[in-house]
Amino acid sequence: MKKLNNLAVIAGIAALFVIGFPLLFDGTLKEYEVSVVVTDDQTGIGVSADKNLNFGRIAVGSTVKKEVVVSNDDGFRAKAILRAEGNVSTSMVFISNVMINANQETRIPIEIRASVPGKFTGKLVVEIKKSKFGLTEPLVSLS
Amino acid sequence: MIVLIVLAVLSTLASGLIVDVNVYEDIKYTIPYAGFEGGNVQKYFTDVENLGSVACKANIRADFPSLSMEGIGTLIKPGGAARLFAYTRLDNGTHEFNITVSFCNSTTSKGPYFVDATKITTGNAIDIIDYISDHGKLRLRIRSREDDIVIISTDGGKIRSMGAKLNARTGTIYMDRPVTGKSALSIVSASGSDEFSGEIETGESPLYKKIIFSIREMLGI
Repeated sequence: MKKLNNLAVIAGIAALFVIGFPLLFDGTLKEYEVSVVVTDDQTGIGVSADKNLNFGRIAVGSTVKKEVVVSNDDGFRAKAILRAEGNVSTSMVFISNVMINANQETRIPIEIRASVPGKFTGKLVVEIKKSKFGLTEPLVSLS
Repeated sequence: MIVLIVLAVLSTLASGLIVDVNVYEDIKYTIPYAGFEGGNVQKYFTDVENLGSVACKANIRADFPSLSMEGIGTLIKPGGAARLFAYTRLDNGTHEFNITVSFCNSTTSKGPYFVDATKITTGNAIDIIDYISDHGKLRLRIRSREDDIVIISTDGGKIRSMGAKLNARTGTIYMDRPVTGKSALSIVSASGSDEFSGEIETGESPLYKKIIFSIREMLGI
């Protein structure tokens, strides 16, 4: 009976931890429009140097790369979780989980690999997670 | 326990979500290319159209050591277009490599930089074609009057082309990063018919950073 009680307490603590774990972290979302036109023309490219994720016009077989800069001005580590949406997502290559140390910035390359002609659009969603409490900061990578 | 609670509260007060996300302005295109047939000087070109709202500067390079380029540093205005060239002379056969064309937002470029032309001297076998700087990284184009190999070296270790063997008559020396202070540079042709040495130096003017590049002929000095 005592063993069962102990198990119940442990299960209760585990359940509380699972339910309460997300409450230990702050999160914010940023979304970026992504677009690219892929053509069969091997001799020309279209470029946009604007600070957006318009990858312009490229030929089949080519790759194009821009970088997203995530800066963390806070004293605690942060975690960036990236995901792509829309039909452009099948052509996008990037690291989806990146840790950013306190008071540092990191550049995350976003690459488009053009395989078939067409116009491709979508979004890059960047979710930033950071611990609300200094004591739980080491757990941010698990969030 | 009380100490832990106090620490947790203080930690909470100190914490804030100060994270920013920006898109960096540099863009890189990699274009697989297999059209170079050996035996003659071959040219590759790509037309670049600026689809954005800001001007950009173009750069072009290849993962092949002896490729020379034209159009480096070309400023392309919004709605404008430019043609970039890369050319080389290769052994017989088909050669495959990637060409990378990169762009940066010219409005965020540092500079302007300049080089001091009066300090460059030419010799018997090697000519300096031109020298420009991009973001403080110097590019020096050279030409060998004889059809030989040109070897470039530096004691500063800051030149990517260090020890490069340029099979074509023209070649480009790239700086890996902005030069600070003085760095010696020498350019030697394989025949030993010519040799240069000089200094690369950076400085700050009241308004802009500037690069002063000088080559002084060592032979005879």
